Amino acid sequence: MPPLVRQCPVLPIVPRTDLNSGIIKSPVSTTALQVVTRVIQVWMVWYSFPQSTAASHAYLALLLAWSVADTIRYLYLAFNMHGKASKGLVWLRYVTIGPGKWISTLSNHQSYTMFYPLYPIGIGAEWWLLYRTISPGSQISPMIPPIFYFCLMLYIPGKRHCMSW
Amino acid sequence: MGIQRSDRERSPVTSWHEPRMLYLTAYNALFASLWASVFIRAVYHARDGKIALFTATESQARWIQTASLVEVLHAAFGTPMSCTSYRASY
Repeated sequence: MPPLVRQCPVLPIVPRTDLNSGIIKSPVSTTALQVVTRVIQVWMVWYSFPQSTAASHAYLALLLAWSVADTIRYLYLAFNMHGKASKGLVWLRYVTIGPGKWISTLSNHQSYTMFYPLYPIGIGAEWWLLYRTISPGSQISPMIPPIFYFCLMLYIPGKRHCMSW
Repeated sequence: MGIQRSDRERSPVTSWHEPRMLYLTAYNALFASLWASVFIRAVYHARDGKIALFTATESQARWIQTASLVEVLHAAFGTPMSCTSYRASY
């Protein structure tokens, strides 16, 4: 049985502000946005609040959404780097991850990933798991709920930012 | 930026033997298999109950996700696979 809470590591909450509010629009921030918010999720939510995370079905949903999307995405990248992505793989990527927007100036057949339809599942599960930590978090410090509510709010512009790429 | 871009566009599709291509191919293949293993594990333990599922999968998925932070560096330093296409695929 995981402990109710672990010592809550102070994780960089500030970067998320920039990234999710879409101030910086660059490929770097697009990559960073997706990676950093996930890393924050796994340490600030999963690791720090194992009990509230484990007790929710959202954890399985998130795990499946991430693992399916990323298996396909990395496979696609590995093959596509050499121009060898099979039609089946391209199709799989399209159905699970989505077409994204075509970037006409960049090299052929590349697009920004939008995580269709796995994206809403993933973002919803992330949001819900973070929300669930607020009650146990308030037992650690009265500062946690306002900070975490603030993080929850950041998902809203974050989502719009991602979907509009 | 304009100069950089046209440089990138001119660069031909690079070969297998170029170190960065080798590295990125290995990186992508490795992470594809790591996430596939998370998926298999998740499905395998899905019926064991929520706590058992969490115990069986959490640390693995957490560390894989943490390791993928190097992608920020890939993008920041433009570990390029004719640069743009790798970035664009995020």
